[in-house]
Amino acid sequence: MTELLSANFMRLWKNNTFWGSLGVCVGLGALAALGEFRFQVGMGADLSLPEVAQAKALLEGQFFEYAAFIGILAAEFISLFIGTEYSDGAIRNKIVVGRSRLSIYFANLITGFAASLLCMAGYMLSCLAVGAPLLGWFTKPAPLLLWAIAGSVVMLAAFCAIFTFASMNCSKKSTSAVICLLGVFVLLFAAVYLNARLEAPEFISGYELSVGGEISQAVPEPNPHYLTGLEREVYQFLYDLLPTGQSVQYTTLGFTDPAKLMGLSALVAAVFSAAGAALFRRKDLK
Amino acid sequence: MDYVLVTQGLSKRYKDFKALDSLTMHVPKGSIYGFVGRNGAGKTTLIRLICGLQSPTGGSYALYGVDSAQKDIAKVRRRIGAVVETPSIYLDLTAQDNLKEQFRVLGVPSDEGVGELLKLVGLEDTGKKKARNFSLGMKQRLGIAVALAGDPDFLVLDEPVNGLDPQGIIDIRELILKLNRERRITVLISSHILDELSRLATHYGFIDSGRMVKELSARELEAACRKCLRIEVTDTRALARVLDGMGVEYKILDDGKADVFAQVNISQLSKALDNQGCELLSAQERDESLESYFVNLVGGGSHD
Repeated sequence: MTELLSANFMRLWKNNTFWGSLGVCVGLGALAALGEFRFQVGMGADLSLPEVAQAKALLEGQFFEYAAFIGILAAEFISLFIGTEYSDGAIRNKIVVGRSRLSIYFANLITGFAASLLCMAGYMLSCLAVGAPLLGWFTKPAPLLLWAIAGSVVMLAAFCAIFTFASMNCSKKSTSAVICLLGVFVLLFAAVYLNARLEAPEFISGYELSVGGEISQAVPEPNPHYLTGLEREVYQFLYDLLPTGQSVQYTTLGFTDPAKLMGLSALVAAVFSAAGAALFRRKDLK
Repeated sequence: MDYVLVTQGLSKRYKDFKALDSLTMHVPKGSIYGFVGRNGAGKTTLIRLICGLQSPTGGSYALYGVDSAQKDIAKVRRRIGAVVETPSIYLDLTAQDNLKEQFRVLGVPSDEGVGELLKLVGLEDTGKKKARNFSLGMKQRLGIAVALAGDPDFLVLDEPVNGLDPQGIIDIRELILKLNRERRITVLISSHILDELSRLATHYGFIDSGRMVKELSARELEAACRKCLRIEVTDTRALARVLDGMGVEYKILDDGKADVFAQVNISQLSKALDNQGCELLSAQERDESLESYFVNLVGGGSHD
């Protein structure tokens, strides 16, 4: 497999999509920090005072933004990188000379993951380089930040496993690109929906308008959409299981059990990789 | 005879369609094997199977004596180079980078051979030009160069001259002959351009509807296509005596038929046969080209 990885990384080095994606991430990281700084200054915040910057945890707010879009970027990159192997027919050169299908599959998975990870690192480093001098250093506890970084790396592995599964088993580059991009947006909407259901308040307190025109707060009533019992557990499980659900949690640092999230991501990555490799082994190539 | 490729009852079925139907084939070592058949006959399917791109649904094949079911088949594939249908090259890379890429896939430690390969296929001056901007002939030659990257003993080319201009066809033909003669590479070429194939092949395999119709050497084919007089008589032993007496070359086909490879006077022949108590039933002049041989062999049915 080392030969295949060496070939893949050589192609990655010369791949415009990769450099474009990395450039976008680096640019977004810097822009996120700069934009937050301009916004805070516009709002009249004096960021030269360390206590102001610390109280707002501004750097964290921008630093983990990558978790929100890294899945979309991985979908685009992996589907195009692997799709090119099919559209140019070059995947045949590997099989004809006796490279095993398993090693081809996993070499592509590792390459896609490494490229996505580099893009993620590009965002983090540029956000840190621009954000730290302008917004101040991190204020949240270091273990929380490290869990978020480690967790998002495993989440990225799950994303890559899903997109590699789709791209390696679809012989058309354009189709696999559409499937991956459409898939990631469907998963994102699903995560947003799950989040909205889980975040729904238990009670709704409306306002009453009296005949005299006075507005008063009504007695809170139970929210019929509030999830309870097993239903809530299922929604929470799905929210934790979906890489897009995790991406929302890492972006907002709103996770409670990072080890569980990492375990679920590892499970998703393992299941999709095993299923994808098994399908690819039996796939008829043209 | 040593064979590079032998297939035994090889079959491939796609749902209800039988692309290969118990195909048996023998590619001798050192040969240029012309694999002839019309579109959809199963040529590309066979190539996909022996290249490991697809799995057979029946039968087996052996490469250099190693059966396709054995684990070692992957190692033997290292000795193969192939261009299946379209050249397998990265369009956004240069010719040099495409070869470097394949060298890495093969685990070749150094890129030293890249220049030599490019020179061999006449692409040494392409510089930084991306393969996307190559002509079809250049892409085809680059595809062959990539296939040659592992220094193979067996080169499989699927329709290598399809769509090429006359100069492109000549270039590919000369390259194939050079590889076969100078590097002793066995070449399997599938094609339906028979005229072109007849300038290269040392052996032929004719396939129709997924079945091997006939395998023969170029010499045998030449003999079969040689200009001759096909004679039908009541007694071929008598015919043989007469023809021996006339000192002409002939070949007895069965009890009643023979091919005579000379201009003979029919009246004299008929008289001589009559003296031997043998009747001359018919005499037909035959002058088959590879094309008519193929048509006679597989029938002139509809093409895809």
